[in-house]
Amino acid sequence: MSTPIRGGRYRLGRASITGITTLCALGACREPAPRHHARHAPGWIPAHFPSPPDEPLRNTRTPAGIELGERLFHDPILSRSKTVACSTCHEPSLAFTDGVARSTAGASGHPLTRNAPALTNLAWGTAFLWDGGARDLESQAIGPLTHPDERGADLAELTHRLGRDPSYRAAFGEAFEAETIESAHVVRAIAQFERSIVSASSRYDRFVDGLAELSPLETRGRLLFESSQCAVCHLPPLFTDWAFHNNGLDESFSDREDGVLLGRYRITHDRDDIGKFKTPTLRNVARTAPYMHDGRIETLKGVLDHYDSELVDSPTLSPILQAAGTIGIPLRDDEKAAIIAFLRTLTDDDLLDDSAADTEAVREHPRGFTPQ
Amino acid sequence: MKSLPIPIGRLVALSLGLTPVGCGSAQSGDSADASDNADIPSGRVAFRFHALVGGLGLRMDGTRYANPSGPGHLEIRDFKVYLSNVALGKGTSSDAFDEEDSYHLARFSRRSNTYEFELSGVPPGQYDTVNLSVGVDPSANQRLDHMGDLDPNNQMAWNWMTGYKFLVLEGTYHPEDESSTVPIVYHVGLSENYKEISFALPEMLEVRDGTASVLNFDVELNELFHNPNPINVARKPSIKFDPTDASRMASNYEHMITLRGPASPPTPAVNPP
Repeated sequence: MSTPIRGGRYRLGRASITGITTLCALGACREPAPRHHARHAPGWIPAHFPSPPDEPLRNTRTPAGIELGERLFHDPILSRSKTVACSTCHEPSLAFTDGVARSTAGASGHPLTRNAPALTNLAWGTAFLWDGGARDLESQAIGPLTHPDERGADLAELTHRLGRDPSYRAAFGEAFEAETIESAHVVRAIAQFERSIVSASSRYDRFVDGLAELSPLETRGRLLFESSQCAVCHLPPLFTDWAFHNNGLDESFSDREDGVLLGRYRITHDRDDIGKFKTPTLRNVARTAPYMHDGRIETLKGVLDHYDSELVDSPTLSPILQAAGTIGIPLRDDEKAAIIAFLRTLTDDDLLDDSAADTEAVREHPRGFTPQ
Repeated sequence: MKSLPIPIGRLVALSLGLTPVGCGSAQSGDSADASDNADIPSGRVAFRFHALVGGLGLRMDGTRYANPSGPGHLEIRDFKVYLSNVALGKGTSSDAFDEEDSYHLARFSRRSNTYEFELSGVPPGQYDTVNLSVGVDPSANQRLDHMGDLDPNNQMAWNWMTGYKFLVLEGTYHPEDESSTVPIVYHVGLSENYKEISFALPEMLEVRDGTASVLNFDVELNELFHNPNPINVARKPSIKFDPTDASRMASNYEHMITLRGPASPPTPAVNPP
């Protein structure tokens, strides 16, 4: 059921695209402008963030493109069975993850080979998928759309399906001036939406902006995090270096399953890349359990125990994890507790709450609100 | 459908000079069609590719072919290859006419072992070379949100890595003792395996206003397995992402296509339906 507030919020979210200030000045707002409407503002860069790579010229963001992308993201029509949406495994309230190690929610019901990653701050990303096999978000989207264990969609049938829906025809027409809907338009819209998901409103961000304090425990955790090897790969403020590392999960890496267990090697065929996977962002990490590329560790405490004492050696183990003269990052339990307290400050409630509200609105009113 | 269904039996009977002009619907949907403008004189050149095994038309009806580089036999069920960046050269200018957005997925099927596309809007003149490439050039190969023949709905895009399969050959290997069959899966891509090929025409290709010519090419599948790199299907029934294997087969597909002879003489354009 859609409440008036939620509807209003939804319109407000859309209004922010075209210029919330103007509309508010005209008295159209039912609520004060939300502090967080970043993900609907193409080109907005948080003050303490680096500049993102240029978005592809062929697919610069527009309000219509982002809105269409968000609708597609939540629409199960994008699967062969019409039951699996992007958001099935990338649930906004879980920072766009799914809470399970290896999803069986796909078209075949077979467990996937990897854990669903968080989809925040992807505009800053340089390669996508755990092994970096996708060069951009547009190309990445083809994978889960067509993989038989994910959505198993036939792209020709999919675009045909979308073309039978007048509201989609209108939305694609507005976003891309397209007479016919092509698979390229579908993935471009999704990429526009994904680039617009910006997580920069956590308590940590307000601390960086001088607007909030961290508790003594959180502060201790922050200092430990920043002075240890943690921050080398999980580089603030994005909390990832977008690079590939072997973080000591396995002694050996099988070439079974078409090389999916070999990590970055599958893409580069450089033996130095065997067992390396992309550093995930730690933003919203308290919401994105379980952890690692295959979701094998269930808790943050478990992750820190891994780095403290459970790493296993292999030829490509990251030298960063051997910097302490031993394998791993030695941490006492009280230090782990402090680091976890700090990691919880990276939860962006504004983004997650707004996303959840928007998600509900989109799911209830997929065709959007037409101004009365 | 871009390919013209031609019964296998007729292939042998086709002689160069009598090759009929293909239908006018073969041009790529993406290409700029200068012939829309009737004021600019231009002609058309059809490119027709004949898939062969050992010089005879490829059959995908269960026919078993001798393994070109070892024992046993192979049966072919699917053969597709990207032909791209087609250009006609004149004297020192190797790209006197460049087709825009020039990507053609040559598909061969049980119904048809020929594939054809047509260059339109070709300025009248005499051309002496033909350039085309096997594969997708590195610039286009680094993303998948393409339309036309590169649309990923053609199932030539990899879903785990950004890039296209340039050549797909699938079928079954039958060992000599018939003990057990093995699936054949050759998916060759990777930007370094993009191969540019240049053909010197034995006679000038004369393009005149409003006329159409046909160039015939043979695509010999046996070449994939022995020239210059022997690839024994019995030992290597599958090539998917090993770059060394892919590069060996790519060096072979560079030699797979040959020009059959001079272009058929221009014939007057048929009125479009």
